[in-house]
Amino acid sequence: MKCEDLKNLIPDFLEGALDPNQEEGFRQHLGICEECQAQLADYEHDWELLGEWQEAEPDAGYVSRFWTRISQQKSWNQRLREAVQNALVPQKPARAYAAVVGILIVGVVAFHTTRTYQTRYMLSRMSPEDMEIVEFMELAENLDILEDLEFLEDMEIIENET
Amino acid sequence: MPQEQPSQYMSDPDTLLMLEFQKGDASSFETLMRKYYARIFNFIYRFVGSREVAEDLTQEVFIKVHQAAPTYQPRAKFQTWVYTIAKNISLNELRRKKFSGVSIDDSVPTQEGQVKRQVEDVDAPNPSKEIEKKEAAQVVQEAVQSLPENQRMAVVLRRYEKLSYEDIAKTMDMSVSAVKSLLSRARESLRQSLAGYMRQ
Repeated sequence: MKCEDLKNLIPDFLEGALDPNQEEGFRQHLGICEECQAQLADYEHDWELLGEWQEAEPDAGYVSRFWTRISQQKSWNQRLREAVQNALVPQKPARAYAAVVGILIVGVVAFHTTRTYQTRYMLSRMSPEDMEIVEFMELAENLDILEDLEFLEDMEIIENET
Repeated sequence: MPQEQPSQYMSDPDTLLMLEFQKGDASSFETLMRKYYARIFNFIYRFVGSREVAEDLTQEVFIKVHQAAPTYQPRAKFQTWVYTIAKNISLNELRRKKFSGVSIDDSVPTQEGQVKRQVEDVDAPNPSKEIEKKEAAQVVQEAVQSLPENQRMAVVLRRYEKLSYEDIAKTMDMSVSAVKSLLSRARESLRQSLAGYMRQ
């Protein structure tokens, strides 16, 4: 093989891309050809020169920026579910108790508010006659009459029968 | 390329960390991120040639890794997998933005108008080693950026990321001999780009 042909094989030789026969022939030629030796050195030098483009450092806040982006990608219900899960994990009993107490307080307040609202709504829709009955019932309840109402009714039945 | 058995990757400590993260251990993910973030950032930076774009794309790579956790199955070493994600994201970005590398043969804008980029005359006196190094870095950056995409990727993975031919082949989804051929052509292109620059 001519020297010019062998020069074209230098990059393949450097990458180990020559077949064993070619590689052996190339090595033998290299041992006697100063021009090919010089070219080989040039290729090696260029490869070394690439190291002048040094590594760059990423922005220092990449970790926090990453977690911010992750949290922004989650839907509101995912975030709510995770918040509840985080609050209820056994390793954080204080948070778990706080979450349970918070849920109970919110439940009681909501129940009470709903009941009061319903009562007011019903009263506002009552006729004056119904209102009188309700007032009478409240009065009777206050006087503990209603508690004995069944007993009085029973007494009345017995009296009528006799 | 024959499909390898998943079990062979269970000895890869990074794959194990990913599996730990899959089970819910968030610290394993942070360990992986701290180990690979700068490497992936530099890989993308050298491939796309823009620091700002590299910052964004590196975040995207790790978001993909994070999102993939629930369905993750080790079919390659973690390193190969994460570089493959980075490669795909970078290529998509280049396609989307029609990002183009700068050739040292391109004209550059100056106050006197467009002039040809000039490679330093090795015989000219140098004011300092620092400037010399910066110029060398600039010339190298432009030479790498002027390579075709696949040659550039192979060079970055081999020269800077120090990946084996086998790992580059898996990352780039080609045979080992094709990778060697790409690198051989890249060396030839670089030789022309860097001709006369600081060659002893």
